[in-house]
Amino acid sequence: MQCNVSFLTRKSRGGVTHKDEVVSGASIRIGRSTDNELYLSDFRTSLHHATIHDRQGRYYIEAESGSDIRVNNNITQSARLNSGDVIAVGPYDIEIISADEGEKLNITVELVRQLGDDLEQLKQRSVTTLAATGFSRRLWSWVFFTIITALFLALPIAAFYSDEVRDMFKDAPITADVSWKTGEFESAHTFFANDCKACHQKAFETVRDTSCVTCHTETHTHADPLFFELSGLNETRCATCHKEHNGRDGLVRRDEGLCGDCHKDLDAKTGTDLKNVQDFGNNHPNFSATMFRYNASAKTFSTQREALKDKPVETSNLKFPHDKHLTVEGVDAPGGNRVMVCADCHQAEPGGIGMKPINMKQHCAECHSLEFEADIPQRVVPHGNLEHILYTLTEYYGNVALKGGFEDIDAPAIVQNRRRPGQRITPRERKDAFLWAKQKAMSVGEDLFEDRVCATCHDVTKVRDGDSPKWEIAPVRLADTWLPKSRFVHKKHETMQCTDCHDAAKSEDSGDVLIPAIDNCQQCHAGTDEAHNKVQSTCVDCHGFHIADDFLLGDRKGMPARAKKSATAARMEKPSK
Amino acid sequence: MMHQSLFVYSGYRYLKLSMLLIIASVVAYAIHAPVDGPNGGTWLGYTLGGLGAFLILLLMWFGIRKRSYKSSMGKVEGWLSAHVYLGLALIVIATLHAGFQVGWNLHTLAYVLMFIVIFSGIFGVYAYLRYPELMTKNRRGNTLELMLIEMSELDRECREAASQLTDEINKCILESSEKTKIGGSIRQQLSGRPQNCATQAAFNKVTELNKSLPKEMADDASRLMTLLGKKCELVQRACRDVQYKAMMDIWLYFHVPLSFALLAALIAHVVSIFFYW
Repeated sequence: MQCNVSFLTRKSRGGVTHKDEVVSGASIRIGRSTDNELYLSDFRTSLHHATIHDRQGRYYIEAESGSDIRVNNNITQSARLNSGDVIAVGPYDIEIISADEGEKLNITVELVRQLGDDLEQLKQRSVTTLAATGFSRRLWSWVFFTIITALFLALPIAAFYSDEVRDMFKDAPITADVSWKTGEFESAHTFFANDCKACHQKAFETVRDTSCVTCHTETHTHADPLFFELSGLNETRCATCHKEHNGRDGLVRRDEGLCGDCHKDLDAKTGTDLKNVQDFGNNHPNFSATMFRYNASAKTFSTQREALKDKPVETSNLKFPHDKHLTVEGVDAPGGNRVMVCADCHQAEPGGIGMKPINMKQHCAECHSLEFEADIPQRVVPHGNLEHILYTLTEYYGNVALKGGFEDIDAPAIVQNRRRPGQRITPRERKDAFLWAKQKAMSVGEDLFEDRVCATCHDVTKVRDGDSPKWEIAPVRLADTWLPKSRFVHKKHETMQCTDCHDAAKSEDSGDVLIPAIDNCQQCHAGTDEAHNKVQSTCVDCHGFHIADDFLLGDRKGMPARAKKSATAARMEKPSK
Repeated sequence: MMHQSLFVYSGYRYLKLSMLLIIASVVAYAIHAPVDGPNGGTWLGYTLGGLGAFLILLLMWFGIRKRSYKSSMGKVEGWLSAHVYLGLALIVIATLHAGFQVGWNLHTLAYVLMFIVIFSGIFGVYAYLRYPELMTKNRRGNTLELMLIEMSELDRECREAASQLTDEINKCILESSEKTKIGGSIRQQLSGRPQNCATQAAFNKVTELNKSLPKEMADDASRLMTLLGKKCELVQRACRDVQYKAMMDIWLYFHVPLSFALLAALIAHVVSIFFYW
């Protein structure tokens, strides 16, 4: 068979050139291989792509195995050729110009699908820079900036000014108040911790005391305006010393400056005789004991403060020589000789701060018996009231007198004679017996009061002589503490010996003030300035702030400064307690 | 050399300045003993915070300065040197400002963002010290553009060599030239290895098919394999080049957007402090 082939080439400026060729063979083979009758060089064509057969004057095209052809865009393996058919073979289009029976086959061949530019395509496929991936630094910068500004700036501010916004986001994981929080709240404040406005009532303004006093109405004013007419002290904000956002335990200023800022140079100020103090280690006055002083004429106690260095003597009206009780040889006790220790009398209070009061019955009576007849040591007079003692004695000796048989040559016969059961006594004898009993009670009482028992420890004075004499015992008042303005916790010092601080074994007189001077404390304690190897002790470790007794923070609530002043003046006119 | 000028600029001027700032901050922090412990709210806290905020703004201004070619406000080299050294000093200053306090809040968010920005910057310095040299070695005097041109030339030669070989081989060659690509997604660029490389696949396939080819095709097949081998090597080098370039750029994709995140957090942090003064 023969075939007229016209190879068409389109020019870029338009127009078509064609190269005509006549191919012949038993059939027309089409493909990339040079042995094909219709040789199509493009590599996208198969070596042997398809074959056109002449079957009794009709033309058929058949694809070789593994290849496919498209006849008028339909993928097929074989087809009869008709005039006008377009057959796609690889990138070529073969158009059947005429394929009439018995006529010569006329076709055009055109490379219609040009192979693209390799380099351009490779570049198009390759993404060789991060910028080309479409990830934009500028875009993400804006995104982050906007998100953070919205969530952490705009939202909290909006929530501050609008309760609606606040409620809208109250269950969100990042709420306005949580994201701005600078630290844990004191545990007592946690129930309103997520509401900044509870304390921060105005924007760009420090927390005012009015916020604190909303709850703390019953808290006592920290410096009674009656006594502290000092500018600045009562105007100091609560938050100056009470630092919130510092953890569950809260934080109150306790540095030396808390007190020292005012107390360090009091000598330069008028109106006070307080001494300068700034640091316990190196700038603290020596201790002064507050003691009881007895006024014998008025029979009252008053307190008086004296420096320990002046060896003050206290008048407690109790005679008690510590040295005789704490002697190493021991003391005579009912069970025999006994070496006494401090704890025999001084026992700590349950809280461990101070000591339990000394009690005659508990601490003294075992040795210091109140017996009045050597033969009957189990009979004792009561401790405390002299009239009760005389009554007890009169009662006892009255009974003895009526019973009779008492061996006393000075006693009337009725007291000395032993009576038979049922023997009656005359009224005269009864009178003699009672008279004797009363006299006996008085003489034994006088002996007890002035010599044998009471006077051992007490000051006893006979205030009336004659038939019905009277004695008085000076009242006793032992000091609970000699330093009432400081707080000393015995429990915290239990690893030490009592004698490390209290030189009781050498004390001959109960007037001695048995507390050590400051240098004793300074062996272990220092202030914050030089506390490198000592216990750091700030002012508030021992001392309290000058809290007003009867003036509450709530009294000042909402009062403008001028009103506060007049309220202060009004209080000053009241009689002091 | 960039790395020399960066570090030694003007007799280590900014290294000295940074060391001075660090030492001064540490000494002040050690001496200062506020009642409520070290925190941002003490006088030292505010001082260090103000210094830190100023440094952050200054460091971010570098982005503007390096783009304004006409600016006479110091050399860009000097700005970069200051950017690196002062950025490192910021780690100490901001940490002392915070007094080592952290929490689930905006303030720690700003702190964390600052750390990510600084550490991405440290990686940037590392990348600029390390990768240019590797890049030069890898390129062997070429550029990526030249490598791509060479690849497309090889594609053409491969097609010629394969024109009289089997259809199966031709199909591989076609795929090699149509599907081979360099780089791709961020992950692919960073991996430095061609992903499902069509050229490598073609090379493997041709190697396999070569065994069953008739003798007359041996010469063409051998030439084709040489060409494919060359292209494979070229693809690998091009991918590595893209990887080095990506490593030199990727940190900026954290450094810059997170700087702006930090700027927003910093503004919010400062406003929040004075809002609830």
